[in-house]
Amino acid sequence: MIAMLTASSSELHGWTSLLIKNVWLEKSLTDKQITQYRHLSVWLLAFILFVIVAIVFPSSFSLLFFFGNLYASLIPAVMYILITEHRTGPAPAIIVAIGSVIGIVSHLSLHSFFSIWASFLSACLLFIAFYLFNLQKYKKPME
Amino acid sequence: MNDKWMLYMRGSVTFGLGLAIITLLARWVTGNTILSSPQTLIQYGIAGSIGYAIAGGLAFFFLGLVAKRVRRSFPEAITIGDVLKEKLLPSYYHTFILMLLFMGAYALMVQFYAAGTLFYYAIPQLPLIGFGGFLLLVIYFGGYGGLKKLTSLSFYSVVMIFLTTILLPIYSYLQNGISPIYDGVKLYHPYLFFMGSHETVWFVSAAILVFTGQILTDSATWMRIFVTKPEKIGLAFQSTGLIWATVPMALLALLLFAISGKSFDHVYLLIQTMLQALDASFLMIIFVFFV
Repeated sequence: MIAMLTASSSELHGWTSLLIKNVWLEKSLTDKQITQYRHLSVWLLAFILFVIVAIVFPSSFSLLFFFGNLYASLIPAVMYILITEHRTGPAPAIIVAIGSVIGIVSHLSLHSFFSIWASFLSACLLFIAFYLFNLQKYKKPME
Repeated sequence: MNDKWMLYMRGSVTFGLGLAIITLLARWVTGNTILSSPQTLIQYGIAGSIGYAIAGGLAFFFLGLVAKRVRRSFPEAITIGDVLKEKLLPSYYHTFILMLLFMGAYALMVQFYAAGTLFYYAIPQLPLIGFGGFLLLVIYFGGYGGLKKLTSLSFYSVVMIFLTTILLPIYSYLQNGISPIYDGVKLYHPYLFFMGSHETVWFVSAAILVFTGQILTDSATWMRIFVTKPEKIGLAFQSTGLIWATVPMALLALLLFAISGKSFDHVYLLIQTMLQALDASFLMIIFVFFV
């Protein structure tokens, strides 16, 4: 319980901070509003998840790899964003979507672990292609 | 930006090596780690379980390399969103953040599901009430408490997790002897010793990818990276990887002990079997309460 409690609380803390700092704070809220929004979003998320878990519960536990394809294709996307010097447009989101779809489609004919690799490798290849394609354009540093 | 909010997000101290390791461990020893280990053991054998532990450790090693670089290039950032904001054009930045939030909510749901399952084993009469109480505590620490409170909770939590994962296997193995357990597992579950199945190799390699993706997109992990001293991050992640890998291994030892004397009906009931195998009820309570 205690391990799960700390892990979930940390996750909720990270989630709320990300939501408020990067989605809502741009409208520059006051102190009071930030606290209100924080409490509101925490309670709302917990309530929604409680309802979902209460409905699907207790059934078999196969959730770990459920979004495996999405995670696998997010690795090259986040790495690309973090490592390259320039600002990127819509490419990461699109490539993540393509990678996940390739993985999910390949799930039909391949084992689920192969499909995770398929997602990862296709996303990697797309990013390499995208990088080479843009090499000329981004040679000069952006302002 | 106001002080109260900054205090909630960043706490008041910069993390050194110790605090970074403790908070990362507390974040990543999760319900998944505990509840997926029986299934891993039965489907992919002992090799699969050890591979699972190594996969997690490798993911942390890899993340250490990335985190060091990002921490140096974005000294002012607090969340992963701040980095994305500088590196993506505005409208696409929002798409990406929404995707991360969605993944975060999903990961949290998996956590809650695991906690609910443990309540289901521990108090089968009223699992939802126990689960509701758990959620209130999570809301208190995660939504109201802020990083400072989480850090002190993490400290106690990590101490208790390792107390449990060290005490319980040693107690069980001392009580019964190592060779009876080994013989029992060999007699009832010889397939667990099978190595070199292709499926196990694929499972472990896919686990590395999924772990890396999970850690890389987790906002809680990035917040801990951005409050750690830049020169400590690489070492913090490497140590976290090494220490984290011991937890699935300890669970593997406990599970082997639980199934050494008998066969089992259903993989999902293995946690229950394990709890019953701990025969002294205070050990069972220690396990449910601490882990």
